[in-house]
Amino acid sequence: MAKEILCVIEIDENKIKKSSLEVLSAAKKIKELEGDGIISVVVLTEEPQNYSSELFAHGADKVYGGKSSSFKYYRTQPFVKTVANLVNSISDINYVLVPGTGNGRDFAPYLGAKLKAGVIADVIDVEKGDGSLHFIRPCFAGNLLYWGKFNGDGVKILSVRPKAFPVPEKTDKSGEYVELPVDIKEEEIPVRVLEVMKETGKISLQDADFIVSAGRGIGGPDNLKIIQELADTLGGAVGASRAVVDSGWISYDHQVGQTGKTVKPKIYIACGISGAIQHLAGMRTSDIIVAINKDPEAPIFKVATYGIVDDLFKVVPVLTSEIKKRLVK
Amino acid sequence: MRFIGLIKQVYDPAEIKPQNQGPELKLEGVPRILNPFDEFVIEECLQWKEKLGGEVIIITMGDEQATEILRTALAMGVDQVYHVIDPAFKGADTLLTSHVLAKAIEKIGGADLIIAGKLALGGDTAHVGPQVAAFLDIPVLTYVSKVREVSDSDKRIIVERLLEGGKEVVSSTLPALITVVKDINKPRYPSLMGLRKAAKIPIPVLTKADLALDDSIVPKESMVKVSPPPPRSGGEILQGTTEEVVNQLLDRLFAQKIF
Amino acid sequence: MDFLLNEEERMMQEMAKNFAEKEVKPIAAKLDETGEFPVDLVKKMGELGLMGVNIPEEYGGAGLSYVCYAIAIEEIARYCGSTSVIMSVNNSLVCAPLLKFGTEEQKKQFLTPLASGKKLGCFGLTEPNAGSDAGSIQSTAVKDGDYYILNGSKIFITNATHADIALIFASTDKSLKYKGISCFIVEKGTPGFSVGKIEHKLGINASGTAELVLQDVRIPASQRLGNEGEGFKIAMYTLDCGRIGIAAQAVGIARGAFEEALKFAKERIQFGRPIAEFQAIQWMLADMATEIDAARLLTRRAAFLKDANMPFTKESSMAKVYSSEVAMRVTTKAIQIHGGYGYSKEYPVERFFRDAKITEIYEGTSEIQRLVIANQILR
Repeated sequence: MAKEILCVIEIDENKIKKSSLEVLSAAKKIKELEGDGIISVVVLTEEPQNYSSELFAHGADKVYGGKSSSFKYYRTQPFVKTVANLVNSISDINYVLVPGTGNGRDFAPYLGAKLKAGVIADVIDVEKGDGSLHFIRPCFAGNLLYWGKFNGDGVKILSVRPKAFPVPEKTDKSGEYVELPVDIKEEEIPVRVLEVMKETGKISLQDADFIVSAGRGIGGPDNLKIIQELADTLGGAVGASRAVVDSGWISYDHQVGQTGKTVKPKIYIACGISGAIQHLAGMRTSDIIVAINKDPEAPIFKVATYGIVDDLFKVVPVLTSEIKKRLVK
Repeated sequence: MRFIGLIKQVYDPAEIKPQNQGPELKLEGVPRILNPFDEFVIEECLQWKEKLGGEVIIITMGDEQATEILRTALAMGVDQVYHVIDPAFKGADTLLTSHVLAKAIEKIGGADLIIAGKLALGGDTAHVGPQVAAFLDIPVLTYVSKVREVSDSDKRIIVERLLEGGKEVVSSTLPALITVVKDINKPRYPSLMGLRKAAKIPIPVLTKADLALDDSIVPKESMVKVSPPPPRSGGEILQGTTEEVVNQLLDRLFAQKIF
Repeated sequence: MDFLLNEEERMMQEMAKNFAEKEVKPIAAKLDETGEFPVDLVKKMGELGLMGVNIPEEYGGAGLSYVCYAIAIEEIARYCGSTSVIMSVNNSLVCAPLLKFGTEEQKKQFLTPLASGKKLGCFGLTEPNAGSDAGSIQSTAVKDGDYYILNGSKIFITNATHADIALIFASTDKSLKYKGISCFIVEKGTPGFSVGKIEHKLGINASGTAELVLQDVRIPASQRLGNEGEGFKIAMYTLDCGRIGIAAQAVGIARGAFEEALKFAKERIQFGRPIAEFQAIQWMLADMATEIDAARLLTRRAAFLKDANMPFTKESSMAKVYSSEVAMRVTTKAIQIHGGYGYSKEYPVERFFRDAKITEIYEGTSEIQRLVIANQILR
């Protein structure tokens, strides 16, 4: 039985992050499977009340707003302390859902330890099991799916994988706004954010709808130009296989795969990538995979939606120019 | 300064055949390796000790076979290792594991800086770093791609955190725990001379009896089953000249109104 | 009798495998293509102790067993024949005899820098007219007071282009035939000592194989290794040690080819199935795996006997002749399994095939090995 499903909302550049809204869909599914419950959200930021109407519209019955200038940037301890206090003060809260973003997955386990509660990470789906709900998540770099459940009483904490759930449809609902008591003294916080360096103009791999990725077949760093051009034409991001990163042709933050990033774009264009299992782990759930490789035996063709057996140096420039033509029309 | 590194021996993901797995996890006989993030953990501890002086202690919680990774750490030149092992810990979830590790850290006298890997392959939870910090009531800084500064006199650390879409430069007081990403440094190879010594040193063990555990902390999360993901079937191999296949591809993509 | 690796051996294997994958594998194809001697790689190997694996720590080595050494060679050879022979020559053909026959002075002066990787060694025995018939070398060493004057030329010397120290075999008394051969330690830069023609070979292209030329090279008598007339004995002992290294190299090359062939067979689809499902391929793979295992066991057994200070001449010859012939068979089959792709330089198996051949020839041809074994059996 769900009583109150609390969702933690992330604010970035004065906007609610998309991944936080997706969490509301996960909450809705839990509520449906449990049979009841209210969905609440907690937002810790400088002006939390500004976000309440949008949160109600996306399905929140209740918004707890924690207002403090100390919440301008995420830091683990003050955020966990505030939410832990909230959870402890409201016995109805038996679920806490957190977006599975970088900071979300920093926050959720720390909260779990403070509350001595179970945490299931990176959830992609929820199912009814016998007696309790089962939470499905990838493990072994996505090569296996894992069904987990919570034991005993106590609050159940989950982090929800971005893009695993849709953003809920907007309604014209309203709800209850509650101002949270915030017991934070800035001088007592041991962590300071000194500088935020955003990659301007560059879309992050995790947010990109289109990713053009280079594998060993690209041959060298200078040839990445054509990959970047195709990505720019699509308004997307550039990814790379481990081989390319290890060869020093591109920096590690472009690496897609088991020890790199996991991505789920609308289209993933793999250029000169063989499709080793470690790479597939990072992109196999992309909506559409286009593979360009001159080796017809490359394993990537087993998972590609569309495969082109041809030299990437011929295909990619033609693809770029054709897209440009078609987009103009 | 005292540096503690937390490392784990994991099953080699390359050796897990998904189609042979499920509903239980069949891990018997699967070769194991040092968690790929953890060689960077050991190296980062060693580099800061070399800069600032002090000692490096490496801890792992695992079964008998896990001594292998402690020996690797010794061969790389760390000062001391501990093996936390007890049949009672079998099947521990991350909550219990982190509690045990935190108690072990307290038992051996704590540290100025604790370093762990971003996550352990297999479980892929990325829980233990933050949870150990929570149990020790110290700050955690995750996804550290560079440690800019560590100061013993100021008891301060400055790091770069790698987040989606950019980086953050963050400072914290010490003691603190950081979790590191790949390529934060270039791990040294164990020298053969180090290897020879490391192969013979007796490894100190910490069991449940040695640690003052809180018995109310029990696994709160457990596995129901595993299964290979639904197969992603291959689609179409487009045929024709370069121009023809490009146009076929774009016809299909535009028809789905993706752009 | 224990067939399992002990802790030290297991760690050696893990370390060497990790090093080989990260440092050797990425450059192996390039080395073969350009023939460039891997100076930086050899330096890294030296720093880690791989150039003096079996040499005691007091002389700059890692002090590990010969079994550990054989394990390390195999892991390096799995990716690169050239790098593994560079390592083998330094360890077995230069460090080993210096350890066994050197005076304390010689060990400090020459063995220590070689074992610790600060200097590189080569073994100068073979001449244009003296290969298998090593006893008939023509190079001469004439005593002149406290010096010897060396004249002659050596060919097919691995590491010659980059070696700092050479062990040169020359005759101090032609009338005694092979019993008149002595061994000398010659340093690069000694007037009259130079590198001659560089060999362009079928395989192991980056091993720095070249001619060494000695023209009135004057070296102090203190640089004679062992006694006058002991040269042949030193050479034979050295080659016994070296054979184990070459056997391990052959096992590594064979294993590299086999692993590639196995991978290919699982991925290559013909007639609607991976070719690994066809019995013909399965039988080839089974034979390859069995022979590699047998070769490795012979090699480890020879290394084990050496470590135990027991006679190992017969066993090291058996390991060498068998492993090198296995390498030829396995690499040939590996190309066959790859079909047309195996013949292309885009796949590594043709390089393993070319690298394998030399293992049947150097450090004692297969024919000589058979003579050695027969000799031991018929004693």
